[in-house]
Amino acid sequence: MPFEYSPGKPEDLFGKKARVLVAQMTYPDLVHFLLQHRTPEQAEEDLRDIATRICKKLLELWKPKATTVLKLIKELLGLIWGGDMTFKIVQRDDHKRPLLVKFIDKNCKLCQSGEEVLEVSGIHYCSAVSGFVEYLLNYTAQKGTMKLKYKSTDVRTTESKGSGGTQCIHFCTFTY
Amino acid sequence: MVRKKIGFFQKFLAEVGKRLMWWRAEKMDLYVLALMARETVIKYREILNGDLQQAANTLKEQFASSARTYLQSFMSQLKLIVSKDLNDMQFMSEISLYSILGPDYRKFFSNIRYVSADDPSNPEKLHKFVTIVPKCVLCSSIQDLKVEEYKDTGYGEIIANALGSLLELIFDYIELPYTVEVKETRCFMRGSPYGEVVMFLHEKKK
Repeated sequence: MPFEYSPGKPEDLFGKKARVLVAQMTYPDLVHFLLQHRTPEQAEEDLRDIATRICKKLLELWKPKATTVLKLIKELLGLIWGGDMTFKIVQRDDHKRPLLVKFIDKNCKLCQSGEEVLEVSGIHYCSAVSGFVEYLLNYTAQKGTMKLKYKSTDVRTTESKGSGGTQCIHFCTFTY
Repeated sequence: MVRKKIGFFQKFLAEVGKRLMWWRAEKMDLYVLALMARETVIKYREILNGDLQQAANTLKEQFASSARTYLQSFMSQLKLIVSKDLNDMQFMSEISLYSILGPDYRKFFSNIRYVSADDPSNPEKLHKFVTIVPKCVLCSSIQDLKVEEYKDTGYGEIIANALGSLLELIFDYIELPYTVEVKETRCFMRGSPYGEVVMFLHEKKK
């Protein structure tokens, strides 16, 4: 097979696959580095920030098809590192629209590498996930592609397996 | 006991095994992985007072250490197909790359070539492995940034060092007395028409 020599473009990578294990092996070093240089709160914001920027770049190529919140998150997770989430509507507004939604991830790919669960205290270990989800939900809201007509969302990780929790929980607050 | 040379049967097993492992593996988008590297370096740079070189070096070291952990996790499978013959290292490296990137690894790494220390075309007189990078996983995702800033950071060495680290782990396992020195001899960032990584083997001092 003749080689095409070039530094490459994002399109050359998008749609190709790599083992999730590579990201899982590198993520702990990132978290530890941030904790060495930042407070746990800052480190958590850094993780969210990194994820937000990745999602922003990704959306230059990726055109999500889903129009419901849960399907959209499923589509995102399928693309980034697999996994699935369930949800529970905690609070609704007067128009019966969801205000506060709890997303539960029992099999978070960031928090576990195989059978090993890493415990890092003082930080919600998989906060990066909330950065991804928040940016995506706000992006699609602006695009007007969602069935649920919310203005914006705020997503926060409140429990992480990697930080000693029993499951990973992300709370999503919708604004209309 | 480690065999002297990989036989036909072990090669056949490895060929089947690598496909099976890849098929069963949990996978992610390669672009997301490259973006993770890009954004991690950018974040490290922010934290390290704008020092891009140190930021890239930090990720380089972290990634090399992760690569060792990664390989250790499936060393039990790999030990079936390792040998003490340096000529077999090309085959073993390809199996390792396939396990990470699947069949697409060929788009990013050409066949790894072994050059013996006594080869007349080898000026360094050290055993070495050479691989060409026709397209770079890392460079692909930073073309919209100020790439001239990355020119002397050895950004591509993030992957190259990890490969060297994998090789060193295999040497430790098969008890070959070498340490590995990785050099990125050609790089798109420095204007080369393709990337090239050379892994020099230095005999361990007793």
